[in-house]
Amino acid sequence: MRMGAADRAIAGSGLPAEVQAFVRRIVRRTRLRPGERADVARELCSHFDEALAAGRSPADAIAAYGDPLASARLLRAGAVAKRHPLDRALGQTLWFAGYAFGAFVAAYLAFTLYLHFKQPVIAVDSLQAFRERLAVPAKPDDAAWPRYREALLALMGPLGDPERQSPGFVAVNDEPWPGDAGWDVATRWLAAHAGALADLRAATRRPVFGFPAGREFDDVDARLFGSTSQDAMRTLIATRNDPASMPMVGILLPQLSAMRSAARMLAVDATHAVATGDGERMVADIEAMMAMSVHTQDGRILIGDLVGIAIRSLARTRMIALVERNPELPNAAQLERLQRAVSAVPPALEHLDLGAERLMWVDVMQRFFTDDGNGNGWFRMDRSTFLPLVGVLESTSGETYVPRDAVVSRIATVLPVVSSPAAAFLVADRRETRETFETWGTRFEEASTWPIRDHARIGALESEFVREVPHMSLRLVLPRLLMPALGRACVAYAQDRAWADAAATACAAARFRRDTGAWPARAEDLAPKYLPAVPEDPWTGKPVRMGGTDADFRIWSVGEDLVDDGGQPEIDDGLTRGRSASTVCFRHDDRRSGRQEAQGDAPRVDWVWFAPGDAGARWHVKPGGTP
Amino acid sequence: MDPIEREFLRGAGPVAVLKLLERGEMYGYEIVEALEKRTDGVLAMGQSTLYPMLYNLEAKGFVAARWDESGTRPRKYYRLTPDGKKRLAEDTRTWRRLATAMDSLGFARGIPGLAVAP
Repeated sequence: MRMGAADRAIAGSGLPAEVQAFVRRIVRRTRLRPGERADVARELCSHFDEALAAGRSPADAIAAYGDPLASARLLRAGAVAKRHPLDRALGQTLWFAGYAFGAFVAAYLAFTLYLHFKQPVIAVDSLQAFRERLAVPAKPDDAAWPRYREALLALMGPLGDPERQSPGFVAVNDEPWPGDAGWDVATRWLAAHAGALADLRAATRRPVFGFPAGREFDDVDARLFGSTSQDAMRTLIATRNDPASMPMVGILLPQLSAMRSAARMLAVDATHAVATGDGERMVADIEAMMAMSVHTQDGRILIGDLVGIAIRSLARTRMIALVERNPELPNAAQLERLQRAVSAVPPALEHLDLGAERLMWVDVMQRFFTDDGNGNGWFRMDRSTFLPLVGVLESTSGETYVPRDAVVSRIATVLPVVSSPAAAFLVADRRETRETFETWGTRFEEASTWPIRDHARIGALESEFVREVPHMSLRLVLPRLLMPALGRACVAYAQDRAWADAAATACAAARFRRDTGAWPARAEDLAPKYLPAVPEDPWTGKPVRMGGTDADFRIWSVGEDLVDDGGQPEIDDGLTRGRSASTVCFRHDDRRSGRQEAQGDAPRVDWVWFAPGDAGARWHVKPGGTP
Repeated sequence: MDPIEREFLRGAGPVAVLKLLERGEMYGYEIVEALEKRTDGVLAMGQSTLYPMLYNLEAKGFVAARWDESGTRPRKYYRLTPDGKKRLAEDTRTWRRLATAMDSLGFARGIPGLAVAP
């Protein structure tokens, strides 16, 4: 070991060994800086040198000196006192910082261990709770799904079947109109599958959907959705109490896509029915689509609602277009049935119900937070929660952040554990996270009941959400990741209700004409005989506008700009095939995704509800805008 | 030594050292010996406490130190600074007031060196 200046001074003092050892002991205990130690060593050596010179024995001199440890402590205090004030302040700061850092590291490690060994408590079987939200058939024949499934298998074939790539199937899914390139092949395909379509319509008449949401798919389901889906659901259910599993996030709902596809078939079939003069089949198809939309909302999970709304929108707009195309085709009874069908949605399904999403939030929270037994806990991250969290991030962004190879897997074992205390402090606790979910969920549920004219309020609410739960928020990372674009959903419900009014008013006007030989002159003419109340313009709350003769009769809302243009849209682009008619209905900015329903300012056009004078041409604008 | 006596001596120690240095510079062991002999051992503080006390007096600027390597053995000499002299004067006045007060109570009567002339 390299000898310091203090040791050299002691060694060179010529003092007896026991005195040198005594001095060395004191000097070392002072824990002073090297220069200070050397000075102390020289002075003590000088002291003992004098004592021995005065005739004292080494033992006597050592005994007379006193307690070496107390001396070292006092010498250190005295030497430190001699330092420059700035030096002392810096030393004290470093000393405190060192101790504080040490204490922090110790606390951090202790907290790491606490979080690591604090296993999450899976207290709620969210999958079972979700199942309990589903309607239960009173008897087996009340369940629509088995019949839907047979019809869908006949229409689509099993997953991977070449039928799904056939020209007819593809053409039908493109929703063609008479005269389109795919029309003939689509109608031939529909004719070939008439029996299956009849089965599909029959399925829609059953009162309960009966889809095994949150349950294992049986072998017949597996034919429709694939054995991979069957295996995935089986695994999800088997591991639902495993903290690493996230059953409510991973739940598979493949029926939604199938129902959407089936609705397109019915829409094209209804169009074909009108083209061939079959009013009864057209009505049956629209009724079936409306019933499908209600079935699709079983269990009230948001994505199911949005698919249901999309199916309804297709049914209503297609119905309006077809009645415009041939208002003479449906008889009085059929018109009445159509009107009843487009209005027959249970009111509860016409606004947001986040019951299933709440189950998902509860399920995620019980896996991501410790449980103190009083409803609170720390955000907890380890391998069991880190990778699922990454999975959620990846599924919401569409990116792959963490390739699942062995190296990453090992890192993912350690990294989340080491960083978990930091995450626990950075992320809001369980109570705040739950309250955030609940507060915003409830506010958006209320906003979903607002009429379409309040869409600016919905936008403001969404802006407030983005401010309070910002995109890069670590604190509220789970609400940020798991709360869907609820502003857009609120708008979808408002549009849904508005389209219900538009479709019912169109039917009522057609019935009025069938009874009186003329179109109604004003909205008040329709109530109470044809409608329970005078139909309102959803943008103004006043009676909707209508007027014109056979050649130019139309019903219209003044639209978002609130300017009455006499029911004359200036643009056709947004009206193509009715699919984008809502773009003329209004524009909505999505504060979160940055998406916009329509570019630019509010559309400066009226929203036309019904224009039989156009013979349906307004719904059928080919690319380039040529009818 | 009871606690009161210990505290009393702790306050007296630095003044005694400053007083010794008033006559000229001294090294550590010399101060130890002088305190023992000149106070009949009353103010003979533990040697282990002398050097820290000197360091504190040095830190306060009352004494200054220098190493003398010219003799047969190296010695570190301490001397009073101007601030030390002022401090000694103040402490002397304080001690005199204390002695007077104690004298007036009859404590110091007949004790050589502590009796204060009226």
